[in-house]
Amino acid sequence: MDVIKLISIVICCLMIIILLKKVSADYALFASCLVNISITLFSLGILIPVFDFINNLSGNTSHKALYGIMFKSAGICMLCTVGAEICKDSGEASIASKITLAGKCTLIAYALPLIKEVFGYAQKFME
Amino acid sequence: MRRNSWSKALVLPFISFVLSTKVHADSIKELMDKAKELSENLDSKKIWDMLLSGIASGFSSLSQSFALSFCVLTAGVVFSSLKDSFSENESLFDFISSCIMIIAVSSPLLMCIGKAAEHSEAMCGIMVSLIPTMIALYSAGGSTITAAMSAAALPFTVSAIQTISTGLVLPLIKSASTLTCVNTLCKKTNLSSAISLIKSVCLWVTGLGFTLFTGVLALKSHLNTGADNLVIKGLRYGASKFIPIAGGMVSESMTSVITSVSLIKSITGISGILLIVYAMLPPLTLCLATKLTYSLLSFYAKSTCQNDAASLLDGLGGIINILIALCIGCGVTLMAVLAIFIRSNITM
Repeated sequence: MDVIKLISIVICCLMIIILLKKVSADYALFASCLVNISITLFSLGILIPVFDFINNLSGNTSHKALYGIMFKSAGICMLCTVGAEICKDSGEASIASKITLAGKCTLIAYALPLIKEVFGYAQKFME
Repeated sequence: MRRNSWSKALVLPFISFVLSTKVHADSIKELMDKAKELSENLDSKKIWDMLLSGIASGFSSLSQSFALSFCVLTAGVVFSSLKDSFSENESLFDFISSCIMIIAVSSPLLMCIGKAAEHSEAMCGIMVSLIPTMIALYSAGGSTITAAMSAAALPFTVSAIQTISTGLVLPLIKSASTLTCVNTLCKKTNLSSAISLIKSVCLWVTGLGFTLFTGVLALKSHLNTGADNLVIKGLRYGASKFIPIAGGMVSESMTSVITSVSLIKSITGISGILLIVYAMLPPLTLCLATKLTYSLLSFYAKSTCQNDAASLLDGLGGIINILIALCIGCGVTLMAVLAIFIRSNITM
């Protein structure tokens, strides 16, 4: 039912955006961005029970923080992609590439504790 | 009376070893109680239960690692359908997943390597503790040439085994583990051939070294005389089929192993055998439990098309096989040394 509602709303929005384009291209662009963001948030909202389920699988393991990094990274990847695509739709390819770059930098920063831990294990192996 | 004195001579170094190390049991009392309890009412079910409880405790120590690996693989399944939305960040996300997977599976491997190192050192410790007593007994019995020969040959054998296990195979295993992790993380480098080479060297050194030493020890003391051929054939087939890597080695020296076991049993009773088995069990059961965990996770990864995780788990599983071979090799050599000790003193 959710998907049917979503598709209906998106089609309505699409019609409004097409009509808006004839009146003002700028307003159409804003509306398009709004619809994009709304669809992304709605889709991620559908996935929340799935993430909760997988998160609960790990129980109370000591590595739960590391496991959380995986979810945060996935979220960053998705948000960066959505942001970059909105920029590309607006004709700002260079800003889109910068958003992707910012995403990569954030992911590397997030991965730093993991890299440290992997190096720690490598050191323990080589001791 | 004489048998009693040899029994004491054999058991005393054993007890001194057990007192000097807290590797395999929390206290000497626990170890002795366990051996006593089992020897009082020994049957195949008891031994089977002991093995099962060992594996169960191994699994319980691996539960956190298993849970994390399982969750990472399950999350990988979920995210694989969303990877189109990751666009250019997909490779970084894969890198993060691989890092978490490596962290999850490395700690049990480190635990196994540590246990195997402690085990081989403990086994060599027992062998070393026997040498002075053996030489003293030879000298007291008038066999000065044999005492001189043993004084030269046995320390060499023990130190060679120690060098093979802790000086050569374990460092190579650690290198292979590190390279396997690096190979998983860096997709552009292919270290598979280097890893296979290291593993082959480990297998050759472990297999050949222990087969040679057990064979030489058996030859030295004519251990191959007292075992039934049919039993040997059956056990040899079973060992070569079911024991990973070390199976061939154990199979080749099966006669020596059986004769060693019967000799030790005839002098020290079943407690002697049980003590050796009980000393061998902790690293073996931990390695077996880890191997089973890796196999299960690898099966799950393969069935969900996560080939990188599967190759990592298979690679580390191969390393566990070498550790199992090392533990069995040390145990078999210890049995042979103990049997030489007993037999030489009986024939004196």
